[in-house]
Amino acid sequence: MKNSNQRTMISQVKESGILSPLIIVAILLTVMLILKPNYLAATNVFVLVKVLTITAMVGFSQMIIMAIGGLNISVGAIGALSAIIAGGAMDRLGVPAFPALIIGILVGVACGVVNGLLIYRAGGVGPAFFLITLATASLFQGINLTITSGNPYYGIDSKFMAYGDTQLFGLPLSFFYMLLVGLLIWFMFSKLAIGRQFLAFGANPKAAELYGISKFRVVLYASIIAALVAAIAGMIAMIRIKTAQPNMGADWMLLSFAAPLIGGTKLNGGKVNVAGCLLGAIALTIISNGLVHLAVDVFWNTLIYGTVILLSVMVDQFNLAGMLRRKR
Amino acid sequence: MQLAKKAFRHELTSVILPLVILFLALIVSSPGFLSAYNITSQLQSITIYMIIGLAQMTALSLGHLNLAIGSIGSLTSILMGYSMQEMGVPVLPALLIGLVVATICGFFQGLLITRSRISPFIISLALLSIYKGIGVVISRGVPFDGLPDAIKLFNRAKAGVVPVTFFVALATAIMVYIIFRYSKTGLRVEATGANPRAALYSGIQVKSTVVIGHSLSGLLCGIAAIIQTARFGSAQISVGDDWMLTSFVVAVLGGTLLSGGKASTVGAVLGSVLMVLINNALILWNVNTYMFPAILGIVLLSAYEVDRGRLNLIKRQSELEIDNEK
Amino acid sequence: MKKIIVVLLIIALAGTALYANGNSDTQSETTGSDREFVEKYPEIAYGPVDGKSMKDYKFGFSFGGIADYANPVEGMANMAASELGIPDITIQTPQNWVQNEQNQKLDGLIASGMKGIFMMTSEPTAGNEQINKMVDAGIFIVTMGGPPALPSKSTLTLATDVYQSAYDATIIVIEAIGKKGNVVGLSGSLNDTNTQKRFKGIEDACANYPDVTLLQLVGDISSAESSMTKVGDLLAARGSEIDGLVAMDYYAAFATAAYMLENDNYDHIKAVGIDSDDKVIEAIKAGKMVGTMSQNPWAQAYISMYTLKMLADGWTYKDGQPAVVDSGSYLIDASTVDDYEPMVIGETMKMMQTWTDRFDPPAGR
Repeated sequence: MKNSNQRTMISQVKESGILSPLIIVAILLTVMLILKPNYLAATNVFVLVKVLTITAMVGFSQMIIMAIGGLNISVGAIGALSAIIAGGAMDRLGVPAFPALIIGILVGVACGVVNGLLIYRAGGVGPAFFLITLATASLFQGINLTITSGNPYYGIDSKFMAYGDTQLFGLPLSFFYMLLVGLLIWFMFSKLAIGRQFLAFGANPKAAELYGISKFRVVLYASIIAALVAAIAGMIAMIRIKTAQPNMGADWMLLSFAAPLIGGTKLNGGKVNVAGCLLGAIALTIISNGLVHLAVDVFWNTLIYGTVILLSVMVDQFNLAGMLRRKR
Repeated sequence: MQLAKKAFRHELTSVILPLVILFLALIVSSPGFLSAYNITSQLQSITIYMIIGLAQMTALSLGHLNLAIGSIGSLTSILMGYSMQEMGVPVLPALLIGLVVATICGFFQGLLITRSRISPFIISLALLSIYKGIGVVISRGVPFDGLPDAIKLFNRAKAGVVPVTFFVALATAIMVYIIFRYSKTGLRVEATGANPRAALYSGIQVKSTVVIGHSLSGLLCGIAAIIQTARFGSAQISVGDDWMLTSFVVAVLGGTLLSGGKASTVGAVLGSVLMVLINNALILWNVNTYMFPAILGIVLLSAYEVDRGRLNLIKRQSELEIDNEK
Repeated sequence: MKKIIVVLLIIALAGTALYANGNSDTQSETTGSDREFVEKYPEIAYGPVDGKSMKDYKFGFSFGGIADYANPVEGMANMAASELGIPDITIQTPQNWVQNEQNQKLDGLIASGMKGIFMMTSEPTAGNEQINKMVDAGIFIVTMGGPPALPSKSTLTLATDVYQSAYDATIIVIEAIGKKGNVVGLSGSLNDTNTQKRFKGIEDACANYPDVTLLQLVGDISSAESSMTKVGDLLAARGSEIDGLVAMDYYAAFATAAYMLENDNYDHIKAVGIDSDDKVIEAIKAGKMVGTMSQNPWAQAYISMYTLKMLADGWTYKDGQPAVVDSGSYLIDASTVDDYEPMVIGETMKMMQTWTDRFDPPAGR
């Protein structure tokens, strides 16, 4: 009885596709704990979680677009532009915290609308995503720089910081926002019609259209939701660095792909894995944090970072292959 | 009119049209544009953009994105610098080492993609860090600035106002053109990129084609790395820092992606010229630096629009022809 | 069809090349304005000297990348321009710290008629080849901010000695912690050769004190976010062990200030930063940081402009004068934080008093 229970649990985990990212995270954590027994001390967990929050959010944003078979180069540019407009509204126009937050998020949504409409106009599938977001990333970044002349906005309302900086159970509030966003995305993909339409479209755009799924709706809505998540990530990043910096989001693009890909989401669309994406983000955060924690020679950081990512995805592959062979 | 319409139908219209307009506008507005100094300088920039655009085009025609393009350049430059400065290897063998290293980098990337089931995207992403990381470890961030004078002379040599390196780029472009146009390998690469399964069924060795394609992309990065090293006068890890996005923009402006992954060598060449002219124009017109990215974004979007207009025209004309036949 | 296009393009390029050889500059001549001449430095001529016109005094500026540091440049350079009776500065700075990008900016500046440029290279070594090219084309080059790799064809560099500045900052930190304890050092991009010089300065300073241990050097900090991550990771990992912190990069100093301000756990750490970001100044005022090493962009811009005018007038930099002139590095601490800008500008004017001594005057004057 117990045995079969266990088996169903294992097979559940296996089916959900989070087994391999889970193993990756477990290995990384074990290595860190062996090398540094106090690795999970409260202060370090706090720092880890703050970085994780943003990495996971940008991963979620990218994952939504990947679900419909696209990719989004402009994640970082959208996050930065929303943060800059919200920060500028507070610093230059004296807008209070809450309206500024709303303005920032609306700017993000507007970027999403622009992306969605243009992608649809360019065909809505395949290279259209790459072509359009390559251009809009440049456009959004240019607007950002034109507004700021490259200078940060310092006058962020302290109430604004409180939205994400207050602690709950010893963790920053923003972490729980991230979990909530993840939960909502999971809910959308598993329970809501629109989520299933996204997946159906991602798996096979032509078949989905024949079934009456509107390409326009799928592309537009997915772009808007992804941009919304990126804008929230921008707000959280602004809270974290206490200023609105024009070069925010510069490192997001590659991270945003790495988190869902390590977590088992496929680039070709039709499949998402919210928990896996979160685990992928945890893995990335541990790798970069571990390098500083272990005081690795700065000149080795880049090489080790890349190698560990490659090994992580390889672990995934060997592991799955082994599992399948045993099953048969 | 008929001729204009016919010209508009050509797939390179969306790059040639803005190119000609911009060229004329620059001649009229900025006397400095045609100065010998400026022409040489712009050709120097075009040289590097052209080769990396071709490298990216090769990967795109396989249906892959090569994110490691700049890191291959960086590692190649460092290894060339190391062999010349630390090991005393003469210039020509060192350049050969560079080309071999770059090809191996691309070969390894292709091998990983075909031998594992990991997404090509994430392989490229990891190699981006790994190749760069090896270069950083070898050089510890210090440039190799005691290179033989021949390297610098290679950069400075000119025929009239045309830098010699530009001829190297042209020769490279012609080589790539021949490969894609006339060789079986080129056809296989394009077939694989268009539809891997169909390519497999029609008897193409898809796996080795992917490896060959990536090796070629790597080799082109190596050529670009040599010219970039010469232009910097030193071998250093920052070679290739700006290549990734630039290479995408050049390939996109040149129509490689617009036509669905079909390699367009001439397009990539013209794309690099357009990209450099846009930059030059913005500086000559003294446009605020901060607005550059926004303008580049708008230029890209307009290029897509021109291309859409062209496709629509073709569609309408062929519909008309069908109606006429009825 | 494609072949025809390629042929046409090559013909167009060749045609342009031929045309360019015989092309003469047709820009209209502008005359000097009647601005009142402030005779601050009587030996330097006001406006164009005999035989020259205003367009021989068109000067440009290009910094290595977008940075807070260059903010005072435009104002100071134009102040110098109005004192000298020459056109205002034209600025073209690359968006990223990428030499290819800067080369395009510099080439564009020259094509639009600039006769002299003061600049900081995006990369000290790679930029040198571009400086060679510009000097060979007859353009006057003065470098500032950070020196290019030496020897360079740049007339001179006005800069803070980054090694010395990091060394001094480390000494200040070590003194503040009572010459005993653990120190960490932070600097910026690994591509930047200044990073190695700064690390060296920190290492050398620590080596002078037997009771001081250099715990760790952290680099590869190139954006606001990565700096927050790296500094956060560092403090979380070894915050209790660290006694002193030297942040020799704009973003590293910014992140240090941000952590110090928000958190009381690290009050035992004595930190010195670099440059004068608002956050850093705020942290110094709040007593959370010991101070910051301000470089001197004011002087660098102002004096560079004067130097370009002198070079265009025919002055020559004396043999034996140093290639890099130290424009000073000033510690901004709690006592000087409220009026550091006038202080630094005052120092600049002092430097300018004896500036012409470094040059040979033009023949016939």
